[in-house]
Order: sequence, then C-alpha cells, then structure tokens
Amino acid sequence: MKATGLLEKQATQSDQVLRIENLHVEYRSGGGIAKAVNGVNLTLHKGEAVGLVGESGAGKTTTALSILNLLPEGTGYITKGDIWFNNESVLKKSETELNKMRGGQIGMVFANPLTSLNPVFTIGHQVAMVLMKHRGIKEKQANETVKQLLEMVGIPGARLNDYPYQLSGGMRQRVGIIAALACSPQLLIADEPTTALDVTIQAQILELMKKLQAEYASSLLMITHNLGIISELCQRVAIMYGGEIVEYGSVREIFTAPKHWYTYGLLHAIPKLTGPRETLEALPGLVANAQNLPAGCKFHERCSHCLEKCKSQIPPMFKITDNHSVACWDVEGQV
Amino acid sequence: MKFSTLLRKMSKSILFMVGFSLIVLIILTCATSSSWTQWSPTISKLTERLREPDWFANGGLAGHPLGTDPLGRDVLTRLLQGGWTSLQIAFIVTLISMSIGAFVGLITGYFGGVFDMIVMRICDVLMSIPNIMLALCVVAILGSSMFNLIFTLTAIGWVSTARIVRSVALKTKHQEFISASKVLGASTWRILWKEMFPNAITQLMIAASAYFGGTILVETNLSYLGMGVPVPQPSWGNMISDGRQYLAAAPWVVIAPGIALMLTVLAFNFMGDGIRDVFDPRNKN
Amino acid sequence: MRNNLLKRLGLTVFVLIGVTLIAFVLMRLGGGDPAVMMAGGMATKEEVQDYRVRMGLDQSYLVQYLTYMNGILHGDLGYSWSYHTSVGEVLSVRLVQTFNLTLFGFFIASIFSMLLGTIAGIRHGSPIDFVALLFAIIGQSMSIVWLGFVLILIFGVQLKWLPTQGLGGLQHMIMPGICLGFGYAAVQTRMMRSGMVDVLKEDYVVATRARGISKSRTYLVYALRNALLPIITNMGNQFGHLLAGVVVVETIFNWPGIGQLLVQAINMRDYQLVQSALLITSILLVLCNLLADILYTVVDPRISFQ
Ligand SMILES: Nc1ncnc2c1ncn2[C@@H]1O[C@H](COP(=O)(O)OP(=O)(O)OP(=O)(O)O)[C@@H](O)[C@H]1O
Ligand SMILES: [Mg+2]
Repeated sequence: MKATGLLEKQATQSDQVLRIENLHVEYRSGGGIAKAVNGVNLTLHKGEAVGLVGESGAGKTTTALSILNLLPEGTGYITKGDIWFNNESVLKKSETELNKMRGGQIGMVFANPLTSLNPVFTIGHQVAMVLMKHRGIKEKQANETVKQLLEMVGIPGARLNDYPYQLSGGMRQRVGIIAALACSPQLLIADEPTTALDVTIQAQILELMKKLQAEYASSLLMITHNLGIISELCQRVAIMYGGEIVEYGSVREIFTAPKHWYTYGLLHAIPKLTGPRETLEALPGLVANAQNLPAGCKFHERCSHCLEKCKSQIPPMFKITDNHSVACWDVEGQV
Repeated sequence: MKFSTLLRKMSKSILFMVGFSLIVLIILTCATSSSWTQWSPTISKLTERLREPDWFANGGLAGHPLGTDPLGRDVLTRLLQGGWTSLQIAFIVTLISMSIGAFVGLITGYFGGVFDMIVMRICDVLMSIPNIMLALCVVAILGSSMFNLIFTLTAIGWVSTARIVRSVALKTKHQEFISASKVLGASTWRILWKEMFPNAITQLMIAASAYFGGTILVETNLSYLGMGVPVPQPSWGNMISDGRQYLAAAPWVVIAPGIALMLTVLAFNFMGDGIRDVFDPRNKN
Repeated sequence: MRNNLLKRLGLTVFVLIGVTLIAFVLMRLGGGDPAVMMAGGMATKEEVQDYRVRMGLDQSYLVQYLTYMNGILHGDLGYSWSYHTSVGEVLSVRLVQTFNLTLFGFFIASIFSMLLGTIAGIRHGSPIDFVALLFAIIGQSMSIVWLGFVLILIFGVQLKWLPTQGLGGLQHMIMPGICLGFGYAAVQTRMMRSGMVDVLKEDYVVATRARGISKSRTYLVYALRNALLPIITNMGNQFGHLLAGVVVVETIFNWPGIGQLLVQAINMRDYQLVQSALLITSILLVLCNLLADILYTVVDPRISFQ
C-alpha cells in the first residue's frame, strides 16, 4: 500500500512542472498582518492548463507572485511551505538562478495592461529585454524576433518603436503576452489577463492564449474571476477562498457536480449589471478579510449550509473521486 | 468642503499637528516676550558687548542666556522680539497677498476674457524676474521701512496665489453645481465666494504655509542687502546680518536667530506638508 | 509642435519686453538723481545739467525708453555711468563669473540630490532614507544668508580649509557653490525620493522583474527613468530660484558676478546697468524654463510640446 503510493508519486513527479506545498503567505505592513495565503497545495503537469478561481482578495495574485518569488519586499513573506519548479525549490534558489527562471522558464502576464508596461520605454524594447536577458543576444537581433512575435499576435512589426500609450488596451495585453512567451517558458502564469479589457477584446485575447499555449506546449496557470474562461481553456480548476483551495478537480466534474457551497454559489451566481464587479447574487456577504480571518472554515459566515463544526474546525481535503477533492464538512458523510 | 471637516481631518495628521503646535508655541513666546524679558532690545550698552552665552547660569533671564551682541544688547531678548517683528511681517504679507491673489484668481478664472489675459501676462512678467531682485529694486527705490518692505513683498507675492486659485476656478467653473446655482439665480459674487472659493481653500492653505516661511527667509535676504527692517528694531534678518563682522569672535550672535528662523520655517513646512498629506487622494486613510 | 514652440517664443519675447518696461519704470520712480551722483556733491547746477543732457535724462521718459529699446535691438545694452563703459562690457565679464558659480552649484547639487534621493527611495524606511528626509526638510527651511555665514564660520574660520572671499581656483567656488545649491538640492532630493518610492510600487516594475531583469538593473535603468521625469521638469523652475540666490551669495562671498553687480548698480542708481542686468537674468530664467520643457518632451514620450 505504502510502496505503491510512493511509486505513484514518483511516476507523477517526473512530468510535474510546478508543485506548491502548503504555502502560507503573510503581508506585514503598518496596518497589521494580512494572511493572504493559508496552506495552498497545487500541482501542474507538463502541458496542462489549470485554472485558479476566486473572488477579489482570495490570494490568487499572491500565490502567483510567490511562484516567482517576487512578493513585495519588506511586506510580503512566505512563512511556511515550499514551491517546487522542475523539482527544485524556488525558495532555495539564488537570485541569479531566480532571474534565469523568471521570464526564461516561467512567464507571467499581468492583470492590467495599462499599468504593467513601462510608459517610457518602447514596447519593442520591453519584449526585447526578455530575449536579450535569456538568449544573450543584442537588441538588434532581438528586434527581429520581436517583430515576428508582434506579427504573430496581429500587431504590425513596424510598431515595435511605439510607446505603450500609442496602443489600445487589447494591443498592450498582447504585448504583455508575447513578452511572457518570448523565451518559450515551460510555465505561463496569466493573472486575470482579460479583466481590464472589454468583452470583445477579451474573447480575442483568450483565443490567442489558447492558440499560443498549444503552440508553445507550455503549462498554464490561469487566474481569473470568470468561470467561462476556465471551461474554455483549462482541464483542471482550483477554487480559492480566503487563501485556501477549497475545491479542486477536473473542470467537467466541478462544473457539473460542485461539492463546495462556495463553488456552487460561484456557478449559480448571476453577475449583477449594477454594483461592483464582484457582487454575486447567490453569494451574499463580503469576501473574508485577510486581516481578520474567521476560525474554522473561512467560508462559514457566508455559507447557507453551515454546520456547528464549520465554525471552529478547518475542514481537510476530502477526496471524492480521483479527479475531485473538496474541503467542506458538509460532504464528510458522503465520502 | 466645510471648514470644520477640514480642521477635523487635519487634526489627524501628525505632521500638521507638530507643525501647528510648534508655530503656536513660537508665536506665543515671541508675542508675549516684551512683557517678561529683562532687557531692552534696542538700547545698547557698550560695557556689556559680546558677552558669551551663560545658558541661564547667571540668574536666568537677568543674565545673558544667549550672550550679547556687538552693541551689548541681550541676544535672547532681541531674538524673541525680533522674532515677533519677523512673524508679524510674514503674517501681514501672507494674509494680504493671499487675499489679493485669491480675489484676482477667482475673477480671472471665472470671467476669463481680456482682463484674464492681461493679468496673466503681468503674472508671467513678474514671475520671470527673480523675486529677490525685484524686491531689491522696489525697496531700494521706496527706501527701507517696515511699510515699504511689506508693500513690496505683497506686491510680488499675490502672483503665485492668483495662479493657483485661477486654475481651481477654471476647473470648477463648468461643474454641475456651479451651473445649478446659476440656473437658480445666485448672484455672481455669491457663486464666486460660496461655491468656488471653498474649492481653493486647501490649495490656499498649502500655499500660505509655504509663503509664510518663504517670506521670513526673504526678509533675511533683504536685511542682509541692507533693505530689510531698519535698525535698531530687531528682526531675525537684521540680527543675522549684524553678526557677520563678528562671526569669528561671537558666533552666537548669528547662530541663535538662524536656528530660531529655521525652526519656524520648518514648522510651517510641516504644516503645509500635513495639509497636503491629508488631501492627497493617494492617501486613503 | 513647431507651432507651439513658435507661440511659446512669441510669448517669451512679450514677457521680456514686459521686464524691460518694469525695470525702466522702477528706476524712474526711484528718488535720487543719477546725474547728481555722477557729477558728485561739489558740482554746480550747470555741471549737473550738463551730465543730465549727456546721459539723455533731459528727454521725455518715452524717448528714453525707446532709445534704450532701440539700442537693445541693435545689441547695445546701454552705457554704465558708474563704470564709465558700456553695459555690455561690464555684464559680459560678470556674467561669466555668475555662470561658473551657478553651473557649479547646480551641477554638484543635482548630482548629490539625485544620488541621495535615489538611494533613499530604494531603501525606503532605512536610516539613509531618514538622513535624506532630514536633509530635505532642513535644507528647505534654512536661510541662505545664515547658511553662508555658518559655512564661513566652520570651513573658513574654524577649520581654515577654504577661502571665504573672492575669485580664485576651484576651492574658491566650493563654499558659494554649496550655499547656492543647498536649498535646490533639498527640494530635488525630496522629489527624487518620493518619485522613486512611487515608481517602485508600479506594476511595470514587478513586470520587469518577472521577465528576469535583475533588481539593480530594474531600479537603475528602468525605474529611474520614470522617477527622473518630474525631477527634470522641476530643474528649470528650480534653476530660477538658484539664480535668485546669486544676489545674496555673491555678496556674501564677494564673488564678482551679476548678482553683486546688481546690488551695487541699484545703490548707484546706474539706470541702464540695472535694467540690462534684470533683462539678462530674466532671459536666462525664461530660457531655462523653455529648455526644461523641451527636455521633458525628449525624456517623456507621452508629452509632445505644448
Ligand atoms: N502589498 C500588500 N500589502 C498588504 N496586503 C496585501 C498586499 N497585496 C495584497 N494584500 C492582501 O492580501 C490579500 C490577497 O490579495 P491578492 O492580491 O492576492 O488577491 P487576488 O485574489 O489577486 O484579488 P484580485 O482578484 O482583486 O486581484 C488581500 O486581502 C489583500 O488585501
Ligand atoms: Mg489579483
């Protein structure tokens, strides 16, 4: 029993790209301590696309930045756990090794294309700098590649000398994407790549990401609020709440038979046209505050099926099928 | 914004409170000093000249805590009463130039047109001659007296305020609440005073803090160039200049007023920064 | 852009005409008759009148002004009665000295404040940040006269390291240069510091780091450029303040520049010398602002010349 478990683990480890183990992250600033991530476990295999879904403040961006070891200095701290990339601990890497990994092996697309490009450098340079750094080539050579990359995402190559302000939001996000993919990384992290864009552009960007992910055969960690995006792009999905992953499994199972009441709420929520973006009808109440998290299940205050146990004890991950697990006391009896 | 909310908000800024308290303290000490200091600030006593500071060792105020100056006058006494002179000048100049500036700014911003054009070009011209040079010419012509000093600094000082208030007026001019009051038949003066002016208060207060400190500094410059407060009346400016020749023998004559001046300007800068911090939209709390 | 530049130049010419007018009127308003001063206390009425005619003071103000302006258009800045030579000659000698001093002060203060401000911004909250902030606050609150005296007291009188008066080698320039640049350095340090702190919070800084660019390169090549933008625009305006300080600093350190000259000329009622000295100073100031604006469009691609 034990032996087979071990074997199984080794077998899967060989094609594991990323493994996050029991990650805990805190932000410490003048205002107090925010526990942004509280024990996240997540594994990504070669070529796989995994979605990370949750409301604002769930800790998605924090998780993503932890993978690159780029939490804001002096405020963000990884307090527990580890992150393995290609079976090497990211936290133990030297700064030089990290810089080789960032952009070279892991690319990241940021949420807001309007703020994530430097306004005083040309877009060409901002893509070229990745190539210069990781391929060790000169800007002139790099520009040839940049032109091709721009053309690939539908921007005329001649525009490489444009500054970000000369481009539309959608075009800027394309630049963000090719900068992340320029060195064919094994893993692409996309942090809400479409939230800042309008609907028609969103679809184009998603189509592009789908195409590029297949072309570059990279693994994808897709962070989003939007479940529609997940069903389009991903094979598996992790639902995040209060810095924890509350449900994890194949997209099909989770979308057809969600087990966590939070997931259920997300799936049945109808986004209201008025009010803030995150207000969802089936999910009353406010997102858990990272500075003052409730005891027990982080979701219990908003849960319509809250048990006595939920208020004091944190639910463990219950395995429902091979492809589906959930952290909810309500399903304890069913397993 | 209402004045009371303004005050309440500012009382929460540490920077503002430190600056404000320091200013109150300095003003009170200087203003009352003539009633409790033991020496005359103006009568010289040559037998007592250039005494070193005794730091309150010789009977406190009856001695010379900060020494005496080249004419045998008590430095502490002159420091406090000179401070009162400098503060009064700065206060009057700031008040008048802010008022003129605010008035001109509101009118030009609201009405625009030829008058605005002419006033703004005058501002351009005045701003392109360094203040101190302009002040120097004017005082030189008028002759140095307290009144002329105040007149000159005011004549130059309204320009920057006028520009600030004008830009606020231009910004608010087309906002809904202004048009609404126009529709409701409010008089022009009422709109200017009740609707537009309050929008400029924050900016005005920041400008006033900076200008107050700036005026004190300019007074020292003019004093040094012989165009400041006429002797024997003490001011921080002429105290500093008077000490120049005795720098080696009696540095305290220069150092004391310089530090007092620095503290005062510092306090005003703190206050200005405090106000700015409170109203900076980037500061949410 | 070209149109805007032309418009701006037109405005500049207008402003400078305004400056000559103000200077002219101010000097005429003043008491004290330059002719009497020139002729000396012992002169008879006829001698004074003679001087008055020679100096053109017997003509109407309008004629005097137009004569002066006509001269300027032909490159003649007037005649200095106290120096008994052309104003142009007096000014050009003095201008060189003022240039040396202000550029020196401006240069060391700029370098110093950018370095200190950048380090303080990067090391936000550290002891060096505290020192920089303290310097900025104190530097902005100090009287330039007082600072000059204190410098003389410390480096001239006590330590005897530096000469306190007049022209000479580089060491003669150090104290007046520091004195002149001190306030400016304080303002710039503060701006640089807060600019750097703000820029380092921007998404694009994290994005650059996420591309594998090292921290030092990200800060010193990519973030610095953003932080420098407001500093550069401010430079032009600040140069104006620096120039104003020349009047005091040159007098304190007995530096034979245009500032010291202006003070003397005002006291002598040397009309044309004062007028032209003010004009030249304004030209310098206006040019600096113009230059700063142009420079700004060069470093910030988002701004075209307005
Ligand atoms: N620099 C920071 N300093 C302090 N707290 C922070 C910081 N960044 C994030 N937090 C806090 O950490 C928690 C998680 O933030 P995070 O940005 O990871 O959320 P997110 O899931 O990405 O949300 P969103 O969908 O809005 O991007 C939040 O409560 C947030 O307030
Ligand atoms: Mg986020």
